[in-house]
Amino acid sequence: MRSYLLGALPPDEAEKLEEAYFEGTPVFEELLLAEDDLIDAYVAGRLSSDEHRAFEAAFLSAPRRRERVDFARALRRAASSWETAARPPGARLAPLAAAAAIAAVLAAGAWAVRRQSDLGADLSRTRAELQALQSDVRGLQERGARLAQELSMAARPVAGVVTWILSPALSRGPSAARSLSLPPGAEWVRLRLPLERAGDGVFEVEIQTPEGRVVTSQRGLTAATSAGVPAIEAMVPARALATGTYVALLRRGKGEEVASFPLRVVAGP
Amino acid sequence: MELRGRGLTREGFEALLQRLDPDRDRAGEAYEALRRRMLKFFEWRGASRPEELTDETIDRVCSRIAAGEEIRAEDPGRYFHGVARNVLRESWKREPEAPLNEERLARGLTSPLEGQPSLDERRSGCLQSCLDALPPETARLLLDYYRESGGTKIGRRRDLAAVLGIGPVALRLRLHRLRGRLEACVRHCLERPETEGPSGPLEGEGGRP
Repeated sequence: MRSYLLGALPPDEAEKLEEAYFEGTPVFEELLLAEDDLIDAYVAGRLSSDEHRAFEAAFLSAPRRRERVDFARALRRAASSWETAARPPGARLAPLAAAAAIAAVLAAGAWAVRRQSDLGADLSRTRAELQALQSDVRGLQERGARLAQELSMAARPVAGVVTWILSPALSRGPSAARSLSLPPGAEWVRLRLPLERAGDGVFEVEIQTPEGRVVTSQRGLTAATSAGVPAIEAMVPARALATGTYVALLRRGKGEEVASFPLRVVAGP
Repeated sequence: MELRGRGLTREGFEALLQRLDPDRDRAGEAYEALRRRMLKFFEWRGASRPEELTDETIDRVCSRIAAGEEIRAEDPGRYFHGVARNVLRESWKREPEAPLNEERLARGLTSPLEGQPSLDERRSGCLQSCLDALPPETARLLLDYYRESGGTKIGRRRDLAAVLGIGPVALRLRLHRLRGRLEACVRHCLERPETEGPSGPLEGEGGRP
Protein backbone atom coordinates (compact mmCIF):
# COMPACT_ATOMS: atom_id res chain seq x y z
CA MET A 1 0.00 0.00 0.00
CA ARG A 2 2.87 2.37 0.73
CA SER A 3 4.19 1.78 -2.79
CA TYR A 4 0.80 2.66 -4.25
CA LEU A 5 0.61 5.85 -2.21
CA LEU A 6 4.11 6.82 -3.31
CA GLY A 7 3.24 6.15 -6.94
CA ALA A 8 5.68 3.26 -7.13
CA LEU A 9 3.34 0.32 -7.70
CA PRO A 10 3.38 -1.32 -11.17
CA PRO A 11 0.33 -0.19 -13.20
CA ASP A 12 -1.44 -3.56 -13.31
CA GLU A 13 -1.15 -3.99 -9.53
CA ALA A 14 -2.31 -0.42 -8.98
CA GLU A 15 -5.34 -1.09 -11.12
CA LYS A 16 -6.26 -4.22 -9.13
CA LEU A 17 -6.00 -2.25 -5.91
CA GLU A 18 -8.21 0.48 -7.35
CA GLU A 19 -10.83 -2.01 -8.51
CA ALA A 20 -10.93 -3.38 -4.98
CA TYR A 21 -11.46 -0.03 -3.30
CA PHE A 22 -13.96 1.27 -5.85
CA GLU A 23 -16.06 -1.81 -5.18
CA GLY A 24 -16.40 -0.88 -1.53
CA THR A 25 -14.07 -3.45 0.03
CA PRO A 26 -12.13 -2.62 3.24
CA VAL A 27 -9.09 -1.87 1.04
CA PHE A 28 -10.19 1.76 0.87
CA GLU A 29 -10.13 2.18 4.66
CA GLU A 30 -6.78 0.38 4.82
CA LEU A 31 -5.35 2.82 2.28
CA LEU A 32 -6.66 5.79 4.24
CA LEU A 33 -4.94 4.47 7.38
CA ALA A 34 -1.75 3.73 5.46
CA GLU A 35 -1.78 7.29 4.11
CA ASP A 36 -2.02 8.68 7.67
CA ASP A 37 0.90 6.47 8.72
CA LEU A 38 2.96 7.54 5.71
CA ILE A 39 2.40 11.23 6.37
CA ASP A 40 3.26 10.75 10.06
CA ALA A 41 6.41 8.83 9.14
CA TYR A 42 7.48 11.65 6.82
CA VAL A 43 7.04 14.41 9.40
CA ALA A 44 8.87 12.26 11.96
CA GLY A 45 11.77 11.80 9.54
CA ARG A 46 11.37 8.02 9.44
CA LEU A 47 11.28 7.48 5.65
CA SER A 48 14.22 6.12 3.71
CA SER A 49 15.86 8.58 1.33
CA ASP A 50 14.11 7.03 -1.71
CA GLU A 51 10.74 7.10 0.06
CA HIS A 52 11.41 10.66 1.21
CA ARG A 53 12.01 11.78 -2.37
CA ALA A 54 8.97 9.93 -3.66
CA PHE A 55 6.81 11.34 -0.85
CA GLU A 56 7.83 14.93 -1.56
CA ALA A 57 7.16 14.45 -5.26
CA ALA A 58 3.71 13.01 -4.56
CA PHE A 59 2.55 15.04 -1.59
CA LEU A 60 4.17 18.44 -1.60
CA SER A 61 3.20 19.49 -5.10
CA ALA A 62 -0.56 19.23 -4.48
CA PRO A 63 -2.13 21.90 -2.24
CA ARG A 64 -4.60 19.62 -0.46
CA ARG A 65 -1.99 16.96 0.25
CA ARG A 66 0.47 19.55 1.48
CA GLU A 67 -2.21 20.79 3.88
CA ARG A 68 -2.42 17.28 5.31
CA VAL A 69 1.35 17.23 5.86
CA ASP A 70 1.24 20.63 7.55
CA PHE A 71 -1.62 19.44 9.76
CA ALA A 72 0.34 16.33 10.72
CA ARG A 73 3.29 18.50 11.77
CA ALA A 74 1.01 20.69 13.89
CA LEU A 75 -0.58 17.61 15.46
CA ARG A 76 2.82 16.15 16.28
CA ARG A 77 3.88 19.41 17.93
CA ALA A 78 0.63 19.55 19.89
CA ALA A 79 1.07 15.96 21.09
CA SER A 80 4.64 16.69 22.12
CA SER A 81 3.63 19.88 23.99
CA TRP A 82 0.79 18.04 25.71
CA GLU A 83 3.11 15.31 26.86
CA THR A 84 5.57 17.81 28.32
CA ALA A 85 2.82 19.72 30.11
CA ALA A 86 0.73 16.82 31.36
CA ARG A 87 3.31 14.47 32.85
CA PRO A 88 5.05 15.99 35.87
CA PRO A 89 8.24 14.33 37.09
CA GLY A 90 7.86 11.73 39.84
CA ALA A 91 4.37 10.78 38.71
CA ARG A 92 3.07 7.45 39.89
CA LEU A 93 3.23 4.45 37.68
CA ALA A 94 1.64 5.04 34.25
CA PRO A 95 -1.94 3.72 34.41
CA LEU A 96 -1.45 0.81 32.06
CA ALA A 97 1.80 -0.13 33.73
CA ALA A 98 -0.08 -0.10 37.05
CA ALA A 99 -2.54 -2.65 35.71
CA ALA A 100 0.36 -4.82 34.59
CA ALA A 101 2.05 -4.38 37.97
CA ILE A 102 -1.06 -5.60 39.81
CA ALA A 103 -1.30 -8.61 37.53
CA ALA A 104 2.35 -9.41 38.12
CA VAL A 105 2.05 -9.06 41.89
CA LEU A 106 -1.14 -11.16 42.10
CA ALA A 107 0.19 -13.85 39.75
CA ALA A 108 3.59 -14.19 41.37
CA GLY A 109 2.44 -13.59 44.96
CA ALA A 110 6.04 -12.96 45.86
CA TRP A 111 7.13 -10.57 48.54
CA ALA A 112 10.59 -9.78 49.84
CA VAL A 113 11.87 -12.24 52.46
CA ARG A 114 12.77 -10.48 55.69
CA ARG A 115 13.35 -11.33 59.27
CA GLN A 116 10.16 -12.16 61.14
CA SER A 117 10.16 -8.87 63.03
CA ASP A 118 10.20 -6.92 59.70
CA LEU A 119 7.70 -9.12 57.85
CA GLY A 120 4.65 -7.71 59.62
CA ALA A 121 5.53 -4.11 58.79
CA ASP A 122 6.37 -5.02 55.23
CA LEU A 123 3.09 -6.90 54.84
CA SER A 124 1.04 -3.96 56.06
CA ARG A 125 2.83 -1.57 53.78
CA THR A 126 2.37 -3.86 50.77
CA ARG A 127 -1.32 -4.38 51.50
CA ALA A 128 -1.83 -0.63 51.55
CA GLU A 129 -0.02 -0.23 48.23
CA LEU A 130 -2.04 -3.10 46.71
CA GLN A 131 -5.29 -1.50 47.78
CA ALA A 132 -4.21 1.78 46.22
CA LEU A 133 -3.30 0.02 42.97
CA GLN A 134 -6.59 -1.89 42.93
CA SER A 135 -8.38 1.40 43.30
CA ASP A 136 -6.33 2.70 40.35
CA VAL A 137 -7.42 -0.29 38.24
CA ARG A 138 -11.08 0.32 39.01
CA GLY A 139 -10.67 3.95 38.08
CA LEU A 140 -8.94 2.90 34.85
CA GLN A 141 -11.75 0.57 33.92
CA GLU A 142 -14.30 3.32 34.44
CA ARG A 143 -12.15 5.75 32.48
CA GLY A 144 -11.78 3.21 29.70
CA ALA A 145 -15.54 2.80 29.44
CA ARG A 146 -16.03 6.56 29.42
CA LEU A 147 -13.34 7.03 26.78
CA ALA A 148 -14.84 4.38 24.57
CA GLN A 149 -18.18 6.11 24.71
CA GLU A 150 -16.71 9.58 24.06
CA LEU A 151 -14.59 8.28 21.23
CA SER A 152 -17.55 6.54 19.69
CA MET A 153 -19.58 9.73 19.81
CA ALA A 154 -16.77 12.03 18.68
CA ALA A 155 -15.51 9.86 15.85
CA ARG A 156 -18.81 8.70 14.51
CA PRO A 157 -18.40 7.49 10.90
CA VAL A 158 -20.18 8.94 7.89
CA ALA A 159 -23.47 7.32 8.96
CA GLY A 160 -23.66 9.98 11.72
CA VAL A 161 -24.21 12.61 9.03
CA VAL A 162 -27.38 12.13 6.97
CA THR A 163 -27.63 13.76 3.58
CA TRP A 164 -31.05 14.94 2.42
CA ILE A 165 -31.48 16.28 -1.10
CA LEU A 166 -34.57 18.46 -1.08
CA SER A 167 -36.89 19.44 -3.90
CA PRO A 168 -38.28 22.96 -4.25
CA ALA A 169 -41.96 23.45 -3.57
CA LEU A 170 -44.06 23.68 -6.71
CA SER A 171 -46.88 24.88 -4.53
CA ARG A 172 -47.08 25.77 -0.90
CA GLY A 173 -48.80 23.41 1.43
CA PRO A 174 -48.11 20.33 3.49
CA SER A 175 -48.88 17.96 0.61
CA ALA A 176 -45.73 19.11 -1.18
CA ALA A 177 -43.46 18.05 1.73
CA ARG A 178 -41.01 15.16 1.34
CA SER A 179 -40.99 12.69 4.21
CA LEU A 180 -37.52 12.13 5.60
CA SER A 181 -36.52 9.92 8.46
CA LEU A 182 -33.69 10.45 10.90
CA PRO A 183 -31.86 7.19 11.63
CA PRO A 184 -30.77 6.59 15.24
CA GLY A 185 -27.39 8.09 15.94
CA ALA A 186 -27.67 10.79 13.31
CA GLU A 187 -26.04 13.92 14.67
CA TRP A 188 -26.04 16.21 11.65
CA VAL A 189 -28.19 16.58 8.62
CA ARG A 190 -26.61 17.84 5.42
CA LEU A 191 -29.36 19.55 3.45
CA ARG A 192 -28.68 19.95 -0.23
CA LEU A 193 -30.93 22.56 -1.82
CA PRO A 194 -30.64 22.49 -5.62
CA LEU A 195 -30.71 25.82 -7.43
CA GLU A 196 -32.32 26.50 -10.77
CA ARG A 197 -29.17 28.24 -11.86
CA ALA A 198 -25.80 28.93 -10.36
CA GLY A 199 -25.20 32.39 -9.04
CA ASP A 200 -22.83 34.45 -7.00
CA GLY A 201 -23.62 35.79 -3.62
CA VAL A 202 -24.05 34.62 -0.10
CA PHE A 203 -27.06 32.61 0.94
CA GLU A 204 -28.91 31.81 4.12
CA VAL A 205 -30.93 28.71 4.91
CA GLU A 206 -33.65 29.01 7.52
CA ILE A 207 -35.70 26.07 8.76
CA GLN A 208 -39.14 27.17 9.94
CA THR A 209 -42.24 25.48 11.30
CA PRO A 210 -45.48 26.09 9.37
CA GLU A 211 -46.26 28.77 11.96
CA GLY A 212 -43.13 30.67 11.04
CA ARG A 213 -41.01 29.81 14.08
CA VAL A 214 -37.34 29.52 13.14
CA VAL A 215 -35.83 26.30 14.52
CA THR A 216 -32.36 26.67 13.05
CA SER A 217 -30.52 28.59 10.39
CA GLN A 218 -27.17 28.82 8.73
CA ARG A 219 -25.72 31.89 7.06
CA GLY A 220 -22.75 32.69 4.93
CA LEU A 221 -23.31 29.87 2.43
CA THR A 222 -22.15 29.92 -1.15
CA ALA A 223 -23.31 27.81 -4.05
CA ALA A 224 -21.27 24.81 -5.12
CA THR A 225 -21.75 22.71 -8.20
CA SER A 226 -21.76 18.94 -7.93
CA ALA A 227 -22.49 16.70 -10.89
CA GLY A 228 -23.36 19.84 -12.79
CA VAL A 229 -26.16 20.75 -10.41
CA PRO A 230 -25.66 23.98 -8.47
CA ALA A 231 -26.85 23.70 -4.90
CA ILE A 232 -26.57 25.16 -1.47
CA GLU A 233 -25.48 22.83 1.30
CA ALA A 234 -26.34 23.51 4.91
CA MET A 235 -25.39 21.44 7.93
CA VAL A 236 -28.08 21.48 10.60
CA PRO A 237 -28.00 19.65 13.92
CA ALA A 238 -30.29 16.63 13.90
CA ARG A 239 -31.60 17.48 17.34
CA ALA A 240 -33.16 20.68 15.95
CA LEU A 241 -35.45 18.58 13.72
CA ALA A 242 -38.07 16.87 15.85
CA THR A 243 -40.76 14.93 13.97
CA GLY A 244 -43.03 17.34 12.23
CA THR A 245 -43.44 19.49 9.15
CA TYR A 246 -41.00 22.24 8.24
CA VAL A 247 -40.05 24.44 5.36
CA ALA A 248 -36.45 25.26 4.45
CA LEU A 249 -36.28 28.81 3.12
CA LEU A 250 -33.37 29.74 0.92
CA ARG A 251 -32.56 33.43 0.95
CA ARG A 252 -29.91 35.41 -0.82
CA GLY A 253 -28.22 38.62 0.21
CA LYS A 254 -30.53 40.88 2.18
CA GLY A 255 -33.33 38.44 2.68
CA GLU A 256 -34.52 37.92 -0.89
CA GLU A 257 -36.28 34.56 -0.84
CA VAL A 258 -34.97 32.36 -3.64
CA ALA A 259 -36.87 29.14 -3.04
CA SER A 260 -38.65 27.12 -0.39
CA PHE A 261 -38.27 23.41 0.24
CA PRO A 262 -40.97 21.69 2.28
CA LEU A 263 -39.98 18.68 4.36
CA ARG A 264 -41.56 16.38 6.87
CA VAL A 265 -39.42 14.66 9.49
CA VAL A 266 -40.73 11.27 10.53
CA ALA A 267 -39.45 8.88 13.17
CA GLY A 268 -36.47 6.79 12.08
CA PRO A 269 -36.37 3.01 11.76
CA MET B 1 -19.92 29.65 -10.40
CA GLU B 2 -19.97 27.90 -13.74
CA LEU B 3 -22.65 25.42 -14.59
CA ARG B 4 -21.03 22.41 -16.19
CA GLY B 5 -22.62 21.75 -19.56
CA ARG B 6 -21.86 18.66 -21.59
CA GLY B 7 -25.58 17.93 -21.84
CA LEU B 8 -25.86 17.20 -18.12
CA THR B 9 -29.37 17.39 -16.70
CA ARG B 10 -30.86 17.09 -13.27
CA GLU B 11 -32.72 14.08 -14.62
CA GLY B 12 -29.40 12.33 -15.21
CA PHE B 13 -28.35 12.99 -11.63
CA GLU B 14 -31.71 11.80 -10.31
CA ALA B 15 -31.41 8.67 -12.43
CA LEU B 16 -27.94 8.06 -11.01
CA LEU B 17 -29.26 8.32 -7.46
CA GLN B 18 -32.05 5.91 -8.35
CA ARG B 19 -29.50 3.44 -9.75
CA LEU B 20 -27.40 3.65 -6.58
CA ASP B 21 -30.36 2.91 -4.33
CA PRO B 22 -34.15 3.18 -4.62
CA ASP B 23 -34.17 4.81 -1.17
CA ARG B 24 -33.15 8.41 -1.71
CA ASP B 25 -31.37 8.86 1.59
CA ARG B 26 -29.31 5.68 1.14
CA ALA B 27 -28.65 6.75 -2.46
CA GLY B 28 -27.29 10.05 -1.13
CA GLU B 29 -24.93 8.19 1.19
CA ALA B 30 -23.84 5.80 -1.56
CA TYR B 31 -23.17 8.80 -3.79
CA GLU B 32 -21.07 10.46 -1.07
CA ALA B 33 -19.07 7.25 -0.54
CA LEU B 34 -18.39 6.92 -4.30
CA ARG B 35 -17.46 10.55 -4.59
CA ARG B 36 -14.98 10.17 -1.75
CA ARG B 37 -13.36 7.16 -3.41
CA MET B 38 -13.07 9.02 -6.69
CA LEU B 39 -11.55 12.05 -5.03
CA LYS B 40 -8.90 9.90 -3.32
CA PHE B 41 -8.31 7.95 -6.57
CA PHE B 42 -7.40 11.16 -8.40
CA GLU B 43 -5.33 12.39 -5.44
CA TRP B 44 -3.44 9.12 -5.10
CA ARG B 45 -2.81 9.07 -8.83
CA GLY B 46 -1.20 12.50 -8.60
CA ALA B 47 -3.82 14.54 -10.41
CA SER B 48 -3.38 18.25 -9.83
CA ARG B 49 -7.11 19.00 -9.73
CA PRO B 50 -8.78 15.99 -8.11
CA GLU B 51 -12.06 17.77 -7.32
CA GLU B 52 -12.54 18.98 -10.86
CA LEU B 53 -11.78 15.54 -12.29
CA THR B 54 -14.20 13.96 -9.82
CA ASP B 55 -16.92 16.34 -10.98
CA GLU B 56 -16.02 15.61 -14.58
CA THR B 57 -16.37 11.88 -13.96
CA ILE B 58 -19.75 12.26 -12.31
CA ASP B 59 -20.89 14.64 -15.09
CA ARG B 60 -19.92 12.06 -17.66
CA VAL B 61 -21.70 9.18 -15.93
CA CYS B 62 -24.84 11.25 -15.44
CA SER B 63 -24.80 12.34 -19.09
CA ARG B 64 -24.57 8.74 -20.20
CA ILE B 65 -27.40 7.68 -17.94
CA ALA B 66 -29.52 10.60 -19.16
CA ALA B 67 -28.80 9.47 -22.72
CA GLY B 68 -30.23 6.04 -21.90
CA GLU B 69 -27.08 4.09 -21.10
CA GLU B 70 -27.43 1.54 -18.30
CA ILE B 71 -24.84 0.78 -15.64
CA ARG B 72 -24.67 -2.96 -16.19
CA ALA B 73 -21.92 -3.69 -13.68
CA GLU B 74 -23.29 -5.30 -10.54
CA ASP B 75 -21.35 -2.79 -8.50
CA PRO B 76 -21.65 0.80 -9.78
CA GLY B 77 -18.21 1.40 -8.26
CA ARG B 78 -16.62 -0.67 -11.01
CA TYR B 79 -18.35 1.42 -13.66
CA PHE B 80 -17.21 4.63 -12.01
CA HIS B 81 -13.66 3.30 -11.81
CA GLY B 82 -13.62 2.71 -15.55
CA VAL B 83 -14.86 6.20 -16.34
CA ALA B 84 -12.51 7.78 -13.80
CA ARG B 85 -9.53 5.99 -15.34
CA ASN B 86 -10.40 7.44 -18.75
CA VAL B 87 -10.89 10.91 -17.32
CA LEU B 88 -7.47 10.66 -15.65
CA ARG B 89 -5.73 9.56 -18.84
CA GLU B 90 -7.35 12.40 -20.78
CA SER B 91 -6.23 14.88 -18.14
CA TRP B 92 -2.65 13.65 -18.45
CA LYS B 93 -2.77 14.28 -22.18
CA ARG B 94 -4.20 17.76 -21.64
CA GLU B 95 -1.75 18.74 -18.91
CA PRO B 96 1.42 16.70 -18.70
CA GLU B 97 2.71 16.86 -15.12
CA ALA B 98 5.62 19.23 -14.74
CA PRO B 99 8.67 17.74 -13.10
CA LEU B 100 8.96 18.50 -9.43
CA ASN B 101 11.29 21.32 -8.71
CA GLU B 102 12.08 23.61 -5.85
CA GLU B 103 9.99 26.39 -7.32
CA ARG B 104 6.85 24.27 -7.27
CA LEU B 105 7.53 23.24 -3.70
CA ALA B 106 8.16 26.80 -2.63
CA ARG B 107 4.87 27.95 -4.17
CA GLY B 108 3.12 26.64 -1.12
CA LEU B 109 5.29 28.55 1.31
CA THR B 110 4.27 32.08 2.15
CA SER B 111 6.12 34.56 4.25
CA PRO B 112 3.98 36.27 6.84
CA LEU B 113 3.52 40.00 6.70
CA GLU B 114 5.41 41.86 9.37
CA GLY B 115 3.53 41.70 12.65
CA GLN B 116 1.17 38.99 11.39
CA PRO B 117 1.34 35.43 12.71
CA SER B 118 2.80 32.92 10.30
CA LEU B 119 0.54 30.33 8.72
CA ASP B 120 2.11 27.65 10.92
CA GLU B 121 1.34 29.70 14.03
CA ARG B 122 -2.23 30.23 12.92
CA ARG B 123 -2.55 26.53 12.15
CA SER B 124 -1.31 25.59 15.62
CA GLY B 125 -3.73 28.06 17.17
CA CYS B 126 -6.62 26.66 15.15
CA LEU B 127 -5.66 23.10 16.08
CA GLN B 128 -5.64 24.01 19.74
CA SER B 129 -9.08 25.63 19.44
CA CYS B 130 -10.41 22.57 17.64
CA LEU B 131 -8.93 20.26 20.29
CA ASP B 132 -10.49 22.40 23.01
CA ALA B 133 -13.87 21.87 21.35
CA LEU B 134 -13.55 18.09 21.82
CA PRO B 135 -14.54 16.30 25.02
CA PRO B 136 -11.39 16.47 27.20
CA GLU B 137 -10.85 12.71 27.47
CA THR B 138 -11.14 12.37 23.69
CA ALA B 139 -8.59 15.10 23.09
CA ARG B 140 -6.22 13.47 25.59
CA LEU B 141 -6.67 10.09 23.91
CA LEU B 142 -5.90 11.59 20.51
CA LEU B 143 -2.78 13.36 21.74
CA ASP B 144 -1.62 10.26 23.63
CA TYR B 145 -2.08 8.22 20.43
CA TYR B 146 0.07 10.61 18.40
CA ARG B 147 2.83 11.37 20.86
CA GLU B 148 6.23 10.02 20.04
CA SER B 149 7.86 9.03 23.30
CA GLY B 150 6.86 6.80 26.20
CA GLY B 151 7.60 3.29 25.05
CA THR B 152 7.11 1.87 21.57
CA LYS B 153 4.30 3.44 19.63
CA ILE B 154 2.90 0.06 18.62
CA GLY B 155 2.91 -1.19 22.19
CA ARG B 156 1.32 1.97 23.53
CA ARG B 157 -1.41 1.93 20.89
CA ARG B 158 -2.10 -1.72 21.58
CA ASP B 159 -2.47 -0.89 25.24
CA LEU B 160 -4.82 2.01 24.41
CA ALA B 161 -6.99 -0.33 22.39
CA ALA B 162 -7.03 -2.81 25.26
CA VAL B 163 -8.14 -0.14 27.74
CA LEU B 164 -10.99 0.83 25.40
CA GLY B 165 -11.96 -2.77 24.81
CA ILE B 166 -11.62 -2.58 21.02
CA GLY B 167 -9.17 -4.06 18.53
CA PRO B 168 -6.15 -2.09 17.27
CA VAL B 169 -7.64 -1.73 13.77
CA ALA B 170 -10.92 -0.40 15.14
CA LEU B 171 -8.96 2.11 17.23
CA ARG B 172 -6.99 3.23 14.18
CA LEU B 173 -10.17 3.69 12.15
CA ARG B 174 -11.90 5.72 14.83
CA LEU B 175 -8.88 7.95 15.34
CA HIS B 176 -8.53 8.34 11.58
CA ARG B 177 -12.09 9.68 11.39
CA LEU B 178 -11.46 11.95 14.35
CA ARG B 179 -8.28 13.21 12.71
CA GLY B 180 -10.22 13.89 9.52
CA ARG B 181 -12.76 15.97 11.41
CA LEU B 182 -9.97 17.89 13.12
CA GLU B 183 -8.32 18.55 9.74
CA ALA B 184 -11.61 19.92 8.41
CA CYS B 185 -12.05 22.04 11.54
CA VAL B 186 -8.55 23.48 11.17
CA ARG B 187 -9.13 24.12 7.46
CA HIS B 188 -12.34 26.05 8.18
CA CYS B 189 -10.59 27.95 10.96
CA LEU B 190 -7.75 28.99 8.66
CA GLU B 191 -10.21 30.15 6.00
CA ARG B 192 -11.98 32.45 8.42
CA PRO B 193 -10.82 35.91 9.43
CA GLU B 194 -8.46 35.78 12.37
CA THR B 195 -11.03 37.33 14.72
CA GLU B 196 -13.31 34.33 14.50
CA GLY B 197 -12.76 30.92 16.05
CA PRO B 198 -13.26 27.49 14.54
CA SER B 199 -16.68 26.34 13.46
CA GLY B 200 -18.20 23.24 11.96
CA PRO B 201 -19.46 19.95 13.28
CA LEU B 202 -17.04 19.99 16.24
CA GLU B 203 -18.93 22.96 17.74
CA GLY B 204 -22.36 23.15 19.33
CA GLU B 205 -25.59 23.63 17.50
CA GLY B 206 -26.08 26.21 14.80
CA GLY B 207 -29.14 28.37 14.72
CA ARG B 208 -30.29 31.82 15.38
CA PRO B 209 -29.12 33.30 18.65
